[in-house]
Amino acid sequence: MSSQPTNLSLEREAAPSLPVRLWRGVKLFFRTIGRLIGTLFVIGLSLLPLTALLVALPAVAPSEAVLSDTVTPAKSRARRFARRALAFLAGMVVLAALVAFSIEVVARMPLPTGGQTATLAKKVFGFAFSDFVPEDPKPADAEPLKGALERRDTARKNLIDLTATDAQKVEYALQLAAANAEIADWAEGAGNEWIVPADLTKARAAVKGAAVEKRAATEELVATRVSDVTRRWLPASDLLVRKFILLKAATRPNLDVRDKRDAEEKLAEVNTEIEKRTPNSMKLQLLQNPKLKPILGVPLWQLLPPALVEQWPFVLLLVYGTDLALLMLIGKVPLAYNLRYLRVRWRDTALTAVAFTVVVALVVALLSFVNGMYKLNESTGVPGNVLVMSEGSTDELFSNLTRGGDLDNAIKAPVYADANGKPVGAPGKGVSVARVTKTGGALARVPTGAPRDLQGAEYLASYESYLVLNQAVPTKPGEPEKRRFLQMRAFADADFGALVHNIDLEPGGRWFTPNAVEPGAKAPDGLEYVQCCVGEGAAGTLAEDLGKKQLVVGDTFALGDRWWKVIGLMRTRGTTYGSEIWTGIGNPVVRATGKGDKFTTLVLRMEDEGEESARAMAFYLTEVYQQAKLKAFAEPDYYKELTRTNEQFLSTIVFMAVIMAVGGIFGVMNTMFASIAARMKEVGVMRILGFKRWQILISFMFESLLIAFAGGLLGCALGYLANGFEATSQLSSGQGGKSVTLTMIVDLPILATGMLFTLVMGRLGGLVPALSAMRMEILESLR
Amino acid sequence: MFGLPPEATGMSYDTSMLQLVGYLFGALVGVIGGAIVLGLLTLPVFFAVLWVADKTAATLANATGWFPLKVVVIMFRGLRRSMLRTSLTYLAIFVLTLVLCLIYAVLYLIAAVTTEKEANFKAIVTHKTTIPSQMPPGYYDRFRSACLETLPPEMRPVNGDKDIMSWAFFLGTTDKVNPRKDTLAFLFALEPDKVLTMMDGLDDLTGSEKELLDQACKRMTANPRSIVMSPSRMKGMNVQVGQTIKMAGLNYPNLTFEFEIIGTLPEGKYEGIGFMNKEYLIKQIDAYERDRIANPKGEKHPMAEKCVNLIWVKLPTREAFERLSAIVNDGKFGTVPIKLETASSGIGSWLTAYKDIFKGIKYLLVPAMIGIMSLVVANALSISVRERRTEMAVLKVLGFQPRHVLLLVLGEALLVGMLGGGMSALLAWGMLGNFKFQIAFLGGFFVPANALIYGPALGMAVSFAGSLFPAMKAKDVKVAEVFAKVA
Repeated sequence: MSSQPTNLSLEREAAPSLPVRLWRGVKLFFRTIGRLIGTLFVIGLSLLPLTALLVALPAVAPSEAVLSDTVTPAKSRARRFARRALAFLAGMVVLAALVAFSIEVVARMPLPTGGQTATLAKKVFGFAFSDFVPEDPKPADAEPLKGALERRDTARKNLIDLTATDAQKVEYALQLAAANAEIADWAEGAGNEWIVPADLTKARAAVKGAAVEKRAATEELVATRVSDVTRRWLPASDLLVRKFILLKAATRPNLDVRDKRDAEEKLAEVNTEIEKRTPNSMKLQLLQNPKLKPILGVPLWQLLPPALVEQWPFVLLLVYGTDLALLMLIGKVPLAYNLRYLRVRWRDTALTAVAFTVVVALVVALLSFVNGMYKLNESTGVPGNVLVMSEGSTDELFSNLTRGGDLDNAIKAPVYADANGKPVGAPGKGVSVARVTKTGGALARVPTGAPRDLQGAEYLASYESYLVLNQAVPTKPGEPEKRRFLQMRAFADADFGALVHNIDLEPGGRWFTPNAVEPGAKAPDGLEYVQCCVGEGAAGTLAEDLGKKQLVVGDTFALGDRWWKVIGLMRTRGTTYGSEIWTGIGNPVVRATGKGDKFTTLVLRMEDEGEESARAMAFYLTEVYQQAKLKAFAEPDYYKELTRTNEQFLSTIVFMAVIMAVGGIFGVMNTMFASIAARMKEVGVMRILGFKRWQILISFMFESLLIAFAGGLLGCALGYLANGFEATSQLSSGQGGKSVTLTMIVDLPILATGMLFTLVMGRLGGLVPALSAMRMEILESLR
Repeated sequence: MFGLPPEATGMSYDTSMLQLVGYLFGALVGVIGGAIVLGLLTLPVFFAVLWVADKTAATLANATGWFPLKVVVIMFRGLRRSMLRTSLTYLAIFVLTLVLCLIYAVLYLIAAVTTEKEANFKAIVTHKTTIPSQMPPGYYDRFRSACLETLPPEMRPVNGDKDIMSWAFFLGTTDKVNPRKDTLAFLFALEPDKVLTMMDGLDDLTGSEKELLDQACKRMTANPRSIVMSPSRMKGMNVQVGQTIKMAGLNYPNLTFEFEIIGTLPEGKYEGIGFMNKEYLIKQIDAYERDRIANPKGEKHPMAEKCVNLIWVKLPTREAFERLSAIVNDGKFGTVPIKLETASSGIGSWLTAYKDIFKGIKYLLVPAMIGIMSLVVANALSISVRERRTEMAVLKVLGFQPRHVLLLVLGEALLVGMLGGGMSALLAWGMLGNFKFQIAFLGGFFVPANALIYGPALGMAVSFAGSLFPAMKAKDVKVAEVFAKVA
């Protein structure tokens, strides 16, 4: 007979004691946490293809029939284990087959490469196995060195205290000397000798045992060295990169003597450090192992199939699509029932779908913005162009190139080898900068192989200065003053600039002269107008002041104490030049900035127009050419560097998308839980009719996926409206940057990402409710 | 073969997929860990608050028998009816409001730094047209003289020369051949004796922080090689106070500096930055002409006439600003054109490049997030109302007016919204309140205290918007229809 009290019971069970209640509470708490973790894992697994999950289902429930109608119960433990193992293996095989099939199909599709999807994959899979291997311990973090270094720091800090008395200073000096001596002793210990150079060790040995005053200076040097090395203690991979860079610097032909000597000394030190640390560092051993390093020491994305890295949204969509198709083939799922239910409960369906629509539309719009930035980066650099700046500059804005022979001579010599010493160009001829002749005002390319001393031939090189100007924006009376930044490129010769950058003018325009002075009508300030040509973006920005949509030839504006006249509109769509104003370098406003006497940039066109030739020339100018200190890039490489802001935006968008997805997931979870709760009896009837548990699971998963799909599709359609919108942004590599007007672009990879996103939300939100439906007992659900 | 780079030798099997599986599993564990932490951080407090409020309301309702309190008790019971649904709705509001609070903080900071002050404000002198602004060092003296001598006495800076300061930006590395993040330092080259009066965020220091910085500035004046750095940058560079570091200039190429670190900047002020004495920078620029290794031709350093980036001046009134602006804008002031603008206007121009992004945040992202929140609430509530039609009908039979039923549903939603919004605002405010940091000269970034009001208000507003339609449906429940179906 049950001891449970019933409604008729007059006696109440005595309440358990406090410790028992507490114990029960603690047990309940941990059980809840355990269940929560389990549920979260299940949610995580919901991202896997359902076919793989189904085939692997007997790994959890060995007596569950999946592909067959019935299954013989596995009575022995060994049989159950075998069934579990086999199911797990089968699930993995299905998963691998689906992924491999999708990768192969996508690899054969003519899809675009690069852009933000690839960047995202490279970021996510940017870790190597070796990154998870522990580093060798840092000596400065372990006693006794740690304590000694800390005492040294304290003494040094106290010594520079302006309020310290002379007596205190003497005491601090003694403390410092004691700490230094302790550190020097440590450095003489076994295994630590390599840290201090031999001459310093000798010097210390010579003064050892002497009075404090006599040995203090030497021990200070030893302690400084120990502190530097043990505190810097680069991670293994950084240490090896440092060695590589120092090796390159030590062999660089045009490095000045002082820097070269410095590089050689540091290289010797790094080699010793690597040699001494390797026996204690598993990571250093791995990274120096020629067999293991290429597999475990490189970022994961380099090892994965390129299609999976470059076109992962398509691969995953195809995995999910194939998965659904397979499910339809495998067996009867009451899909008609699900569709009817969605139709009947159309309000709930629509409400949930709208959440997906909003999230996906927003994600598509945001991604189209970053896509526009990437497209600008990709289409601005001309393969075969070399962009030359002054040494140390990574941005044109900070470059200073002196006019004259050293710079002019840089472009005259042919280059015979690339950075790896591999020959480039025709044997014995190498690669050179292209040449042109000016006939009747137009530039004509000199054919390859023409004599070097051809009369009238000039190198196809554009001498230019890039600058950013601050323009006062006209405001209404009473409004606070406003300013905007405008980008300007001033050319020594407009024809050369236009040819090198592949920029044409719209009909009716003409290029400016080197001094950019427009003859004829005078400006409101009584001076001549300054000539300029503008890109589409800049024309739009400046037109705002005139209440127009776009400037046209003949429009004027004020900038830098002068009036400017637009004499040409440039065809620059899709490049960063669209946001620029082009003018002559002798123009008075440019000269007033100090950038008229110098150049910031020299852009060369290689004769064969090849990117490899451009890279070889860039290497030659940066690392070999000795007459001037230059920093050169193949132009596409330079613009690829300006993607730091893009990556920051992309990370922010992913973060926002995930946060918004939480809302969508909770929405679909809520709906599905509620709709299942309202259909418990129907689930029971379906089970009686012969539908298996897994078919119920698929049925409800399908329902949530359908809601997500419909909402996502509408979201993509809404997001597509962002296509073609113009927006301002900033491209940057960390130093400087370019303000650009970009066109938002919704392309196929973005739409695929949007659809994948919605399906992922549908899966994450749908699996747990579907599992709850699947696990319902027939009798219980009918009760 | 995939998984093997071309240079791979020896091993001939592909581990990439295995690594991928391991990596994804690790990521899943990480995400689950994060989700558990989020749940543990928020849900217990939420349910504790609900429980206490429920008990209090029930006790008061029993004691007083006041009808509205009884409605409140039923409201709490409604929330307890489906703990899972209530938790999911709460979490959705919590997460979305948290992000909105952070967005609000960013917009608030921008609005604060771009709002014009009317008195005792700072003005910036920069090159009139070019970015980055680079002016000859002689301009600083000329500008000081304009402020201290040309301006009428009542318009001059209140503390005289102490209210004028120049900045030069210096980026250097301790490893010229291999500059890495841990070798880089970004320093403001300035006049140390003006740090405590002119630097935003340092002019209001008190107590030991002020004393220590004052001492450090005195040392910087006495020894131009001395520098102070933010603790985070010192940690990043692995350097300590008292240490001497040799740096090569990156934006001042071919110049080498030997700095002595003599102190740290206060925590949370000018994060990642350091201060150096401008005098040392000028001295090294002059010395370049004599350096025959880096400069065999004995030329002037290319930055010699460009080594003043900004000049700051504190002015007593707007009239003083206008007058000084007229002096500076006069073509006779110098060969290089310069301009005077208020700090807020300067920052505003700098932010124009991002104007479309801010517009997108304001008019697209924020409304969309609010919309999603409302949809989540509407979804949960409409399901709840549908499930409780019988309950609503019974309440009506018991004498509840339709407006009481309406209030019941609205109240449930408002309660969850208030708690979700309130908790997230509290977390955002507390979290960033403890991690104060300053972005260059933009001032300290923080979540304003009024987010504590806006957070719950936003939660309640979206809950109201989301629950209005379901509440109307609940109000209109027809008793006869419901019981006819039940029967």
